Amino acid sequence: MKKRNPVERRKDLDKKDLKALAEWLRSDGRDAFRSAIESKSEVEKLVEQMSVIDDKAVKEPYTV
Amino acid sequence: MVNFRFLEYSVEALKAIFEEATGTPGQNIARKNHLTYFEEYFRVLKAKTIIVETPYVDHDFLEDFSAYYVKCFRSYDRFCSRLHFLNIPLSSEFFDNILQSGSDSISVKDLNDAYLGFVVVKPIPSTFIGRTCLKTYSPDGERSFPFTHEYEVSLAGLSLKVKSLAYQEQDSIVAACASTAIWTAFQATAFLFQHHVPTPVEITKAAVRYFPFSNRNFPNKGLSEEQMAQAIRDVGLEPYLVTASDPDLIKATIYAYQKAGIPLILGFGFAGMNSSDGKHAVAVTGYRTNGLKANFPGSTFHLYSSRMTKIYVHDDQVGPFARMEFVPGTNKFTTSWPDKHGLTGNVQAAPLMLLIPLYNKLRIPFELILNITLQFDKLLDLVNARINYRIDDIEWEIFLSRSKELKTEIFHSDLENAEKLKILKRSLPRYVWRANAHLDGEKVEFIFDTTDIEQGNIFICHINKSVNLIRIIKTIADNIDLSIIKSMPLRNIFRSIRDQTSDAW
Repeated sequence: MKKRNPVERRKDLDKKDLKALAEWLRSDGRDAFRSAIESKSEVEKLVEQMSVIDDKAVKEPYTV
Repeated sequence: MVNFRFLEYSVEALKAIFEEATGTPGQNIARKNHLTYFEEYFRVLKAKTIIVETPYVDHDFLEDFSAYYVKCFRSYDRFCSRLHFLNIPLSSEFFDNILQSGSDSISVKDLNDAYLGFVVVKPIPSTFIGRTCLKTYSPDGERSFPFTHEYEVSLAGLSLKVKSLAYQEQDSIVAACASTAIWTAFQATAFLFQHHVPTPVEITKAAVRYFPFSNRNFPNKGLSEEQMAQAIRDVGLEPYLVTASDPDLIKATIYAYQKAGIPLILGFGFAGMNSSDGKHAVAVTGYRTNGLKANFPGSTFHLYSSRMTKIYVHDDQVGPFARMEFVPGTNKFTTSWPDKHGLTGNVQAAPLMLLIPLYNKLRIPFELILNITLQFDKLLDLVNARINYRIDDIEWEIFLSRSKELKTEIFHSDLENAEKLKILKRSLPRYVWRANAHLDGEKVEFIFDTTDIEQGNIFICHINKSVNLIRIIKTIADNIDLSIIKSMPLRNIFRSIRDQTSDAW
């Protein structure tokens, strides 16, 4: 049988694939999930910096 | 008696009017960025006629006049001139005919179609561009000007309309760039949140009221971020300050708030120049999203807003709806400021901050919704690494919306009936946060409260317009231990999908 690409496989979901995913999530995937939740990606760290205000900078006037 | 003078449009004619109305020498006017900007702008709008209306009483200038100019030893006029622009030729005789007959070969509707807007000219030297409302460039699918609204103009009793957002130049006396940018932002927020629009001098006074150790109030040389925040609080809104350290986050923040018609103030320095060259503030008034789908550097996280290639700003030193283009691969913009050779596009801006005036019940900040979405996307990436369905290709669109607009959109959508009723009959706060996951025509949307507490359950519900994507997410939701997810909204997203989505196999 011809192998389908990932997008084709997603558009024509196979129940067996989802069953395998469910089994993984209940076994090895559990730790992987926990570790992903507990870690912070670089983008998440960047977002955290969005509202960090520089106390000195907020006092400098915009003069141009 | 009000005088109306009709002139064929040309940039020379415009310059001569400025010279006559303000007493500013022609060579000084020629050096103004505004003249260069208006020349290009009116070329695009195909201006054919200028109508000069004198005298004109301008509320904003009258306040500035009473606060400062009236006490100058030299006598200043309190009346302004107002210039109207049309994209058709129009003579004085023809105009008189319209006024006398009530109609003519050119109807008032035709005149409205031809009307490009107005510029108030203040009777002061050099910094004379007063309240200006001009038509925007044609909005298209990619170009968006979310704050424009109709301004009614009475021209000798003729009721004309222009869809715009008011602009004016700082006079460097009662208002510097920051006061002027806030004044522009208030033009939009007053329309949205029904507050009084203070004049530039009132904004400056409010901003400095609690800062006794700052420099003298008038002549005003500029406001700091905390003073700008104070001016925003003074009209009953809440200032939200964001550090503009990353171009994708700048785009994301602008998109998120502008979709709801909320303006932002952008503060920047000039790239490659010394800090002593000063900082400048402008009001962001539009954007263009004609770029390609892009991920955040070093991740598979895609935001629709990253397609933004340029923003439009009311820059008091340049003109209304001036272009600022993101320089790819950097955290810089090109500006519409001319360089020393008079060429635009070479002076770059290094963004410093975004200041957003918010309705006080808009309590949940954008960054929180972005963070929840990021965490959700990260978990999908993890699953994708296992099953490779390319769900890491999801493009997220996150924005603030009035719930009325969400419901109108749902009402006209082709969602399944049960899904439609679920949203239409639901009680929602006035504003909601929306995070849409787009994947090859499939869409799953998450709705969040804007009024709750950050550590609470701000997730309201999900809206499903997908078949396969939701099956994958439901498989995840059915098979993970939700108790390991600390974030209450994220946990409730999975719970909602688990409990409210049928297996449909």
